[in-house]
Amino acid sequence: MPPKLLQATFLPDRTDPSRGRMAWWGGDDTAELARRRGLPEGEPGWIALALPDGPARTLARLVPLLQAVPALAALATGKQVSDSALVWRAAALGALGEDSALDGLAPLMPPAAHAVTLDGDTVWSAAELLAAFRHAVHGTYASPSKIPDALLAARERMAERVPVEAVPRPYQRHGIAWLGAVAEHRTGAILADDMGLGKTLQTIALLAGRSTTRPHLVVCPTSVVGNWAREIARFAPGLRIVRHHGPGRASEATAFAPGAVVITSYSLLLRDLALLSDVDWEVLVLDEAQQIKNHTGQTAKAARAVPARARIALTGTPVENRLAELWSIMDFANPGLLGPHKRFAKRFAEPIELRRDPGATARLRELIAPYLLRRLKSEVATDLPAKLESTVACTLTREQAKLYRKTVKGALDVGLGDGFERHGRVLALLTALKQICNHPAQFLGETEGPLTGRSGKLDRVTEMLGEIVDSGDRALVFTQYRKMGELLAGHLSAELDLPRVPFLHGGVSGTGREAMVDAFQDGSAPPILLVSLKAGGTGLNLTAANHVVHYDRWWNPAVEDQATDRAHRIGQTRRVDVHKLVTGGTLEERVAELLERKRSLADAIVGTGEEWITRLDDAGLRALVELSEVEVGE
Amino acid sequence: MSTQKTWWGKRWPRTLEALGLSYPDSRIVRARALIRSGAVDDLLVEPGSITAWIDQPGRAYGVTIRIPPLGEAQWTVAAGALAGRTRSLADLLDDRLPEDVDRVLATVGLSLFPRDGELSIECPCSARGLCVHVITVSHAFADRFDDDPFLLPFLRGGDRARLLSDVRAAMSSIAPPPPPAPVGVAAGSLSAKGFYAVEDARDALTAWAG
Repeated sequence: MPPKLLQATFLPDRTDPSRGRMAWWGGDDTAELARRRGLPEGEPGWIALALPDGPARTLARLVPLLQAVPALAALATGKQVSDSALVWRAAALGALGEDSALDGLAPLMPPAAHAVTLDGDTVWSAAELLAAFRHAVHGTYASPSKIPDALLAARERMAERVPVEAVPRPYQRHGIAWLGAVAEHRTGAILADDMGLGKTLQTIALLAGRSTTRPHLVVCPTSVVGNWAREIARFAPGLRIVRHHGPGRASEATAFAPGAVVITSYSLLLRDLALLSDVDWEVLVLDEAQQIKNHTGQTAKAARAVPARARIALTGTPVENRLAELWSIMDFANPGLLGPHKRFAKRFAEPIELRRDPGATARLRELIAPYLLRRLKSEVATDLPAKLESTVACTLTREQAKLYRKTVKGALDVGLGDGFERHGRVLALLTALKQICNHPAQFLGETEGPLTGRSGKLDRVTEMLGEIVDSGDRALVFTQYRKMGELLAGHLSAELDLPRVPFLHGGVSGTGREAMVDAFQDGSAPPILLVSLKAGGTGLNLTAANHVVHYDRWWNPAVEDQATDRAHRIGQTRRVDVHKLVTGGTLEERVAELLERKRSLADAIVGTGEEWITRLDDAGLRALVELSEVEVGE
Repeated sequence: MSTQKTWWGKRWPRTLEALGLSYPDSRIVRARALIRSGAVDDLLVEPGSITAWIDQPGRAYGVTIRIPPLGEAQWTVAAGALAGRTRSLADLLDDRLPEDVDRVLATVGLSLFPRDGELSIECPCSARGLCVHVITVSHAFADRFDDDPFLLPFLRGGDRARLLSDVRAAMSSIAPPPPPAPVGVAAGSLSAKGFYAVEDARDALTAWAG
């Protein structure tokens, strides 16, 4: 039975005294108890205590002294405060003020305040722990932490031996060296490179390079669990992979072998939190960490509850410009670095966002610089190929998932028949499923009503295009469907505050097309041009665009490449980013996987598009279209 | 009347008392109105001076408030005094001016806030001595100072990085010797009954003031 009240003790670091930390323990939710007392939550970690009924491995919250000491000194006394917390409040007051004020404190210390295992079955005595604390506090304040400088220096270096079967680009080797230093110093950081710069590869190099007796945990959206497993198998075949996913997943921590990479999804992080926080992880990676941008959300809370030696958050969004998001993600990766949320708002968010205060901006930049690495494509352009393709994983909404399941069930239950009839029915099923992935309104033939929040893909593309437009770039968006193009045109112009978003499709006259192309090229039209794949896939010259988005997939690489080449062709002076949207768990993902895995083979079997699918038997078709267990968005 | 939130932000406008400001003074109300209307232009803080332009219909007044910077040796002495209490550094690291900074520096004969006779003012307007323009600039500075307490050390010729590193250096030089290696006590010897509280210790702990 843990004590009801929050308990406090000091956890010395005998090799580096300034790394000693305060440990909060007790209660069912220690972090919540700490927050209620106005104390920093810190990060989770296992400590060895001697409790009345024997030695106990206890999941505590560990807080660096620089954060813990001022907060303890300001702790309000009252019934809800335990004696051990009061002891360390007194010790903090003494350490911040006159040292002599600590005299006489040791006899008042109950075992709960000092029973930290020292060696075997001895524990620190009250006086010894107090002396170690006094020394550590002085040392911590007198010499600034060496970690920030070490991390800044690491990113200037290039990792020499990179344990992956790939040739990382120079900027990636800088990133790998930096990630290595983050893990070596047992701290946490955010890798926020632009989309497509290889955050996954850099992270895999980090994991493959750690020699450790602990497992690693990667948490990502369900739609990319498979992708992580494939990338690890490809780049670091020596790493053991444990997919913690699906109904057959482990229920015991023993399944997570030392050095193995355990991959799980955000929804399972929530569901299996007790199991996942029972492990002492080496590196904890959160992919698409913007998932925890709301710091009060369940997911953010769960992520903060998993103990690990080092914590890495991966995100491609410009977090440094979104202070609330930055705070939340950094509070996972490096708890307390930016201070409590309220104080952060007052000290940074208000001055910067309301007044563009240069002092506060510079101070924040200095504070986060060691712990945030973000390279833009434009900065590493010489390292990059002229065309950069990336797959953008999207999530189904509940509405989409329901429609999808119903449609698959309806088609397969009735049976697809054979011969010519089968051919037609399969194609109709594929079209229906693709429309559902695009947007329920397209599938249902709706013409009115709000579109936001009903399609994971539409929401994602809106976000992406918003970033593209904000940074002054221009994009082509391809779809196969006229109806979807029309929905996109209305939605994007409203959401992105554009006067209109032109749509070049088969119904536009020859002169109309020329006018659209000219206006897009000379910059007089809005920065987004929607193009129907059939009408605009060939012939047009649209080099003003440096982004190409494939909203839905044709599944014939040649057709997609031709469309992409509207922007990526002679006359293009910039690199072209190609984004292919793929909805996780659906046939979109499976076909994309197939294409990627067997690109050359696929060229042969896929031929002109979707024909090959109609030749699959029922079992093959079911495997292709059926919705796997997926993370369904809200 | 004060619009500043921190103790140091509230403290600054009172430095003008040394130049004859007393309360109530309707010029303070006018100064706040000038700030609200955006009449203060190019507020510039430099070591030794605060300058700004006050734009009024038909005329702009260039105002300067001067305060002497501290010398090298004085900075070292000040850092040494602040290093005597870890709380000073904890406050500075949290972007706060220690509440007892005046008292601590007074023990070594120094001050960050201007002492009597240290403040001098210049304004081209016809008023003698303290004028509404100087009051306005002083309040405009206080508003900014409120958000960034290191403007005061900056005005005195230091800055945040310098102050922090000087105080840390001074702390390092007075580091206590490390405690002897711990021997520990047997876990079995701990009181199970009094595990969470030592009898009769509560009152002393609650009253502990450091």
